Amino acid sequence: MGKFFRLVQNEHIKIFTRISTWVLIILMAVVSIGFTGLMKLIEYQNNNVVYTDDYKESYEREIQYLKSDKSEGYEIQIERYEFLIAQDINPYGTWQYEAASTQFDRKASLLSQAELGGITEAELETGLKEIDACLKQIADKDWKGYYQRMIAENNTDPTLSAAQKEANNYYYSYLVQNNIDPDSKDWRISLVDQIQSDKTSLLAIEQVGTLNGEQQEQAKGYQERILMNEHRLEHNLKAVAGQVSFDSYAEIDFWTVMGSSNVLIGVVSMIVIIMAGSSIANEFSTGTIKFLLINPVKRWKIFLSKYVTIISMSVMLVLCFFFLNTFLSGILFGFGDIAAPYLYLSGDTVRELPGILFTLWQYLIGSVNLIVMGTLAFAISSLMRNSAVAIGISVFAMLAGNTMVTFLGTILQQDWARFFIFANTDLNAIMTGTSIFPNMTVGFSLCVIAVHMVIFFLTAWDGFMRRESI
Amino acid sequence: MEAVLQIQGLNKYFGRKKVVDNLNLELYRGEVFGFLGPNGAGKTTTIKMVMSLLQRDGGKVIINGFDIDKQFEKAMACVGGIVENPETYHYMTGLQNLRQYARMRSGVTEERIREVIRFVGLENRINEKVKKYSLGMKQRLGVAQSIMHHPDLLILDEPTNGLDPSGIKELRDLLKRLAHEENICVMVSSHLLSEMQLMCDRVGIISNGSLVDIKNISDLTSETQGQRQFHIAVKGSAANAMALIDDRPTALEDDRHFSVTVDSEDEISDIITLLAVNQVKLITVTEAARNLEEVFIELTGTEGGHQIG
Repeated sequence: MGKFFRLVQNEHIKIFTRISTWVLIILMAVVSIGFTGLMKLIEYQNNNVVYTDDYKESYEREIQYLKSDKSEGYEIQIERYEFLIAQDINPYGTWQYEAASTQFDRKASLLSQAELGGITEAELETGLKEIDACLKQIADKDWKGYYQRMIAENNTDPTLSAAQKEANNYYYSYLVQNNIDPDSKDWRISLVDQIQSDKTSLLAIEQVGTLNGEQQEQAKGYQERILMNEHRLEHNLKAVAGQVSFDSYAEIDFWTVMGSSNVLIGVVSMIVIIMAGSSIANEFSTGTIKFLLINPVKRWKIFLSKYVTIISMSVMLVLCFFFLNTFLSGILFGFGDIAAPYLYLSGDTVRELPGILFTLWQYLIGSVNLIVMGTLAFAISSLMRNSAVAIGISVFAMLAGNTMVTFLGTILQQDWARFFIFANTDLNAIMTGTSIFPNMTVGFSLCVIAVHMVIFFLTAWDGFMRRESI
Repeated sequence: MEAVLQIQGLNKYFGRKKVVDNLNLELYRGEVFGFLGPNGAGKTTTIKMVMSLLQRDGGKVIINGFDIDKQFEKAMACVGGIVENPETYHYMTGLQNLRQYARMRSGVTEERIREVIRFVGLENRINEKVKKYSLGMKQRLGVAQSIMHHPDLLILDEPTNGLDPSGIKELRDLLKRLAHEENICVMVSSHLLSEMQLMCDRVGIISNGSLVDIKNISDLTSETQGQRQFHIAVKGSAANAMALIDDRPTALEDDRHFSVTVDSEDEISDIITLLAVNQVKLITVTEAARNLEEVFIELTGTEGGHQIG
């Protein structure tokens, strides 16, 4: 055992004394730096969207257009723009702009109803008064008063059910109760907004009555998201791991970067393929295989020490890559959120897992593909004794394999393609059910991977143990 | 005497061609054994089979009493060697290479590594990358690698390849010292007879895969004391000078040169005197170098009955 350990040690020394190894490791670092740097750049761009202040001009242009066009109800629209100009309300997602739009739309529909005789003179009178009161609150920048008025209106609306009232008022009442200025950059606002929209969508689906499979899935998705988001609000979790969204308004933080960085694990795969592909082949091409084999060490031990080294290097590189990304994300986006949890559902309860552990787990799952490809390169290297062939074939297999499986699975609809190794190595996708083939299970994939690994390993073993031309 | 290496009935085929044919050999402590034969005679193949780099097609190899099939690790622990070229990891320093090797052996201390570095005289360059080494330095590094674990059997395949004359002399002295002072068995292969004569105590001659003869080096030189051929260069006509010698076989080479074959040193001495007395102006008298081919022809032709195996 001691001697085997020393053999493994020798293999590691060989790898680390080679300059090419360090070039590859530096390359990996460059990718990591490039990725986090790019994210920082995107964040910078998002934060520096320049809002032009010529919105007044565009309001005036609108008024000119409406005056010349004179389409139905254009007076109300003109009134609306004049209000916006008078109150100096900008259109960039301010609550005043939204509220003003709502009130003038209401006014327009009220007036057209009156014209058709759908409501009485008195009703029109109270309605217009109501709207004027709202507009006054908007002009006074009294968001709280306005929201409270809206809540009251919803609650007295006889056409809404209790659940609809609750859904419609969720946003208003949460902001009022927690005293959150809707124009502030408070992180809770977008969550509250999402919850409200999810609740509304859920009600809309449920009104259908009996749900088909797809609708049930959708409803379940909404429910789960509501649960998670409510958990975040309740426990004041500004940052959570594993929720990556790239819409331009979403704030990029430490976890956005970490959550998407594991797609870069392909870089590590390349390095592992290069190491594995040259491990045995280089010994033969430089003649140093003789140096190895004239020692009192059985051949299979030398073989195994090389394979163990490839596996341990793979794991080491993945961990290095993980820590490098964590470090760089922390430097650029701050380590403040590092303790944030990853949320997952177990039944109806939301549970928390340390986010950093979850991300590490994702990296390790992602490295399954890398170890399979490394073993393939190792097998070819042992069989052909030519590092260029081994590296070439393995890189080609890695790049073309996924494309081929996607092509077979999605375009040609060939279900048997699920038995290919490339359809099974992305365990992350299989676990979350986003794999190309329907109904893939982790157990099935692990079996396919195991069968391939055994074949690769035996090929390598045979190539090393049996063939003798030295 | 205890045999360090026993080879019994060794055979090897490459395809249908038999490259080693029923080879038997015993090597002992304290000797430098020369494995002599032309290129392609099967020297390296035999050595590779002894080092278990190649599979045998029959036959046994026993090192220090350990059969390499049954007690591989024990047998190989007694062997050190260089096959073909001294193979090293060129991107490592000499010292790193030695440490690689030391980790695959048991009981090689850092002190011992320093000792062998001194022994082969690489102290000044040992921390340089091997790719900067000359062939001679690589050869010395190879020797250091192969002796660091105190082997009982040291096998060097064509060790003088690419060495300059002083390097060859150094290596020769080193191998003699190892055999005669440290009492290990050294096996050296070569296709150069002259080299073997200076280095070895015993020589085994291999041709077309079979061992033709094994001789003590002293026997080999005494045998060559039979008929000897001399080249004679004269000023003036070689034909005239040659005509003076009538009792020995002669051959004209060109206008100035001819050769004569004699049985003893006395005879050539007499011929020189004869030529000088007859006013022939001698320029040089040189003994024709006996190349290996001739020795082979001689050994296989005249002493075929002594063939072993």
